[in-house]
Amino acid sequence: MAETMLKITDLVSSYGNIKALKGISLEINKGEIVSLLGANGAGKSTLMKSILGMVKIESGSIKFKDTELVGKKSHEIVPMGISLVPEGRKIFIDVSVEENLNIGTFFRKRPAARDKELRDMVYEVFPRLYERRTQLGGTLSGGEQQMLAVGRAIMSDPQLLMLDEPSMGLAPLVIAEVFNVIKKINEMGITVLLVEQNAKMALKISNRAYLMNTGQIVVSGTGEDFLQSDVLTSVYLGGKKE
Amino acid sequence: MLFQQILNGLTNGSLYALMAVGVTMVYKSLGMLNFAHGDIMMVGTFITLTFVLMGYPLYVGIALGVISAAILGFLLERAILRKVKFTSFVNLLIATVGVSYVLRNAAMVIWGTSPQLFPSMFPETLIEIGNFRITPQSIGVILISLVIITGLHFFFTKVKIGKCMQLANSDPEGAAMMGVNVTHMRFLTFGISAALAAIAGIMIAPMTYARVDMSATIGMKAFAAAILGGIGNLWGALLGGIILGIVEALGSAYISTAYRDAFSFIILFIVLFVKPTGLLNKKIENKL
Ligand SMILES: Nc1ncnc2c1ncn2[C@@H]1O[C@H](COP(=O)(O)OP(=O)(O)OP(=O)(O)O)[C@@H](O)[C@H]1O
Ligand SMILES: [Mg+2]
Repeated sequence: MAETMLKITDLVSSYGNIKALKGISLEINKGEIVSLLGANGAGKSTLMKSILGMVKIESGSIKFKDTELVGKKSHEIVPMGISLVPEGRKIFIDVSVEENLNIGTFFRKRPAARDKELRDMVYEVFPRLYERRTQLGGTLSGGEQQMLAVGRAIMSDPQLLMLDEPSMGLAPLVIAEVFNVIKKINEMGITVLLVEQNAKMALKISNRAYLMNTGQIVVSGTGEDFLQSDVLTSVYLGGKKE
Repeated sequence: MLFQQILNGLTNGSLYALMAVGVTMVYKSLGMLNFAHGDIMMVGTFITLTFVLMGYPLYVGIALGVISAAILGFLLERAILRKVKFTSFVNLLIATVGVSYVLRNAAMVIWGTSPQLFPSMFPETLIEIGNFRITPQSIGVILISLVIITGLHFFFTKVKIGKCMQLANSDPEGAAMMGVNVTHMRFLTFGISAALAAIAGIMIAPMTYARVDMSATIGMKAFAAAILGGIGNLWGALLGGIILGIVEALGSAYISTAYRDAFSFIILFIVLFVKPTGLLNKKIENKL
């Protein structure tokens, strides 16, 4: 049996009076790519932020390996090896590209050689970042900023990497590149939780997927299951059938 | 005469700069001017004086004054501003103004309103070079301020905690996602800002006497200097402070001493008219 990396049980999270997650249970095994699907407002980003300790959790449990994360702050959670590439451009605009990548290494203890290895990998995957390494983050194009956000998360050498719509705003060619990177990261042994509007592409590289609707999990299954069934088109894509 | 005035201007200017740096740091974190900044300076100065009058050596008094100010900064953040921050801008404004009044009134009760002599940490001798007279005080003040501000720049750009403070202040959510303890960083920002204010006050007081109302004038000039140079910008605070100091010195020497305190604001208005972001800032931040 596969080793469980993250186990969420009956998670309820809220923003003020609004319950955004209404009892979510899911599991991610070590080495998997798991996709989280769902319409706008389903609670996908909220789930990721809850794992990182950035949303108020009302009840339930989030176990990362043997550690309970509920009640911990993000600055305690990140060093355990969980990273998030947040939705939208969340890079630091007034520091250089290189420094943005460095910041990824701030809160993970490991040998300097590992930093170099990861940095080389990021630059290899995104040569554009290497060309722009001395430029300020804010001067990058939207797509480049997105690459930087992904690169920075790789630099933090996570065990669990959460990617919230990493292909948002990218050109089709670059999107394909990002999906290649995700596979590559996964092959390095990093477990991935992925949110993507581009459901088909996401499912193709995913071991398993969960479909969310208004704060709850509706269906779960393997990537294959999802691709073959019509749950996607009926429940989630709602006409956006390709 | 001109050289003498410029030296005076530099001396005062570097003190304004030291104050302005604290204003600018807290501005980045809070999104607002801290109206209690001048009062924290004054309280730190008087605490130093109190220990000196009790017979402790000056450096012990200075250390205790600076530490007390830092604690006051921590408390201000923790007990008041952190709670108010999440409500509204106006509340935040009133909170810092309120703290300013409380500190000032408490200081009047404790230390009285009359100006008091304050010992200098520098020798009183005059260095004469030809016609110029330079006091060790001037040189000391300028050097200490420059060293502190350069040191801060190094801290914010090269040291991990300093970098994290910058990140936490400019993009709290992004910093938290990277694992920065944003709460601690904000705490530290207020503490350092307050400590700098106390150091400035301790160097100002020997020249002006220690007086409870020093907080108002110096506090306002610190705001002016920070805004002049570009609020939120460390070098801007330095530049703004120095310009204000020099304009003030030249203005009072060649125009009239009566307008001494007004010169700072006249130059501020002129600069903001031409460059609304202040001298060193590129774009307008939509905070206030
Ligand atoms: N900061 C917030 N304050 C209040 N409500 C919020 C906040 N963030 C999200 N919500 C609400 O929580 C619900 C879930 O939002 P979430 O961002 O998790 O959706 P999502 O599945 O990521 O959507 P999308 O695909 O559009 O990114 C939505 O109804 C949203 O309005
Ligand atoms: Mg989202």
